[in-house]
Amino acid sequence: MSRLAAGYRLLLRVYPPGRRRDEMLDTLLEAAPAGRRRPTAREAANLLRHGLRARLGRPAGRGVVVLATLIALVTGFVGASVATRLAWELVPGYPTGATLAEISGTIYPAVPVTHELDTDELFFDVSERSTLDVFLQGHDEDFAFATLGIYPEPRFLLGDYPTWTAATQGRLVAAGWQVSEARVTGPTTIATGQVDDTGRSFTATRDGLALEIETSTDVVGTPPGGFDATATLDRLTPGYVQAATVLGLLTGALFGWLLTGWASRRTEQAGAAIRTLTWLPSSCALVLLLPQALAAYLILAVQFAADGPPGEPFWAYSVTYAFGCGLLGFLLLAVALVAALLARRPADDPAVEREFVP
Amino acid sequence: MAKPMREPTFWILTALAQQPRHGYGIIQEVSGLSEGQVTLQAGTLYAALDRLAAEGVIEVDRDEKVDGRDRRYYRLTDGGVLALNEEIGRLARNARTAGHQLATRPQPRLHPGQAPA
Repeated sequence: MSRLAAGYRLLLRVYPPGRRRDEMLDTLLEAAPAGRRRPTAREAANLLRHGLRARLGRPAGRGVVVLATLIALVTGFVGASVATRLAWELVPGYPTGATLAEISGTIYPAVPVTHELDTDELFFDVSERSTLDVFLQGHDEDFAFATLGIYPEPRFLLGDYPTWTAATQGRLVAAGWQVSEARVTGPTTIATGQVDDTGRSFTATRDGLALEIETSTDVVGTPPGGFDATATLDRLTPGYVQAATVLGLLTGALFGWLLTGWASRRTEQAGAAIRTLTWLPSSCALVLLLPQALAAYLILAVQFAADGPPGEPFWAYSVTYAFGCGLLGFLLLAVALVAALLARRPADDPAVEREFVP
Repeated sequence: MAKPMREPTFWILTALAQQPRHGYGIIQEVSGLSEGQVTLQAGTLYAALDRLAAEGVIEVDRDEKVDGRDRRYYRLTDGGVLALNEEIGRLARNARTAGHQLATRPQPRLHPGQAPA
C-alpha cells in the first residue's frame, strides 16, 4: 500500500466501519494528482468534518446533529470533571515542617501559630459523608477544595490593623510572594455602598500556593486595641491540571458524539417503540443535565481567567444542589442506550443499502 | 414549493443525468460541466450522496471491484429527474426575471457636462 493510500486509510477511520471506507479510498486515490505523497490539510479537514457527521447516520436529518452536539456538551463536561479530578491527585499537598513554619513566621513573626487543615483529602465536605452516602445523596452544599488555616495563638493580635497589614505585605514581598493591594473591609451601608472601615483583606501567591489574609475588629471578643487576623492557604490550579481538563473535555465530547452516532445508526431502521425509547429518555436527560453542564463550563471559564485558587471544583453544583437531577439524567441516558442495544444491528451503509437491489 | 438546491447538489444530479457514475466520475463530470467553478472534495461528495439517497433522489446502480477496491455507481431515480427538472425550471424563471429587470432598467439621465459611462 502506498504512503498516500495509508494516509487516506487512516483518515477514513473517522467514518463508521463498512464498505464506504473502501469506496472513498478508491475515489480519493483516483482524484489525487500524480506525485502526491500524503493527504492535503484541506482533504484531511473535509474528511474529518464529514466523517464525524457520517458517524451519526440519518444523512438527511438535522435533529441528530443537534442531539449529538448537546450530548457531547454533557459528556465533555463529565470528561473534563473526571480528568481534572484525577490530575489533582498529582498536585503536591500543602507544605509541612520547615516550609510551613517559614510561611507562618513570615505572616506572624514571633507569634505562636496553630494550623488547621480542613481534611487530608483533596476536598472538604463538612458533613463527612461516607462513599455510599455520597453516591446516594451527593455532597454537602459547602463542598470545596480543602484549605489550610493559619492562626495566631492567641487568636487576637494587639496593635493597629492597617499598620500590621502593610507590614505583613512587606514581609511577604520580601519572602518572594506576589502580593495584591489591600482591600478595606467591614459592614457596608446598602443605600450608599459606603464601607465602615473595620478590617483589611489581601491575597498573595507563590510557588503554586495562594494566601488570603484578613484582619477585622468586628469579630466577637476582639479586645480593645486589638484585631482578629486569619490566613488561609489554598492551592492554585497548575497548568498540567488545566491541560488535563481540556483534554478530558475533548475526549468526553468525542465519546458522547460517537456514542450518539452508534445509537442513532443502530436505531435508524428500528421500530417505533425502540425509537421512542431512545429519543424520549435522551431528550429528558438533556433537560436535566445540560443546564448543569453549561453552568460548569461558565464556572470553568471564570476559573481559567482568574489568577486565584479555584475554591470550589467547577463540577461542585453537580455533586451538591443538582445531584438528584444528574443521577436521574444519567439513568435516563442509560435507558436510551439499552434501548439502542436492543435494536437490530443495521446494514453497513443503510442510506444506500436500502435502495440497492443486486 | 421545493427548497432551492445547493450548488453542489445541483451539479451532482446534473452529472448523473446522462448515465450512472461512480465517485471520481461524478467529481470529474461536475468539474467539467461547471467549467471548473465547482470542485467537489470526496467528503463533501459522499455526504451529499448519502443525503440524496436517503431522500430517494439517487440510488445505487451497480458495484464493481477495481484493483481490489470497491467502486459503486449511482444513478438518478425518477424522483431525482423530477427534482432536477424543478430546479432547472426555478433557475430558468429566476434568470428570465433578472434578464427582464435588466432589459427594462431605466436609462440614467445625463446632466449637462457629464460624460456617458
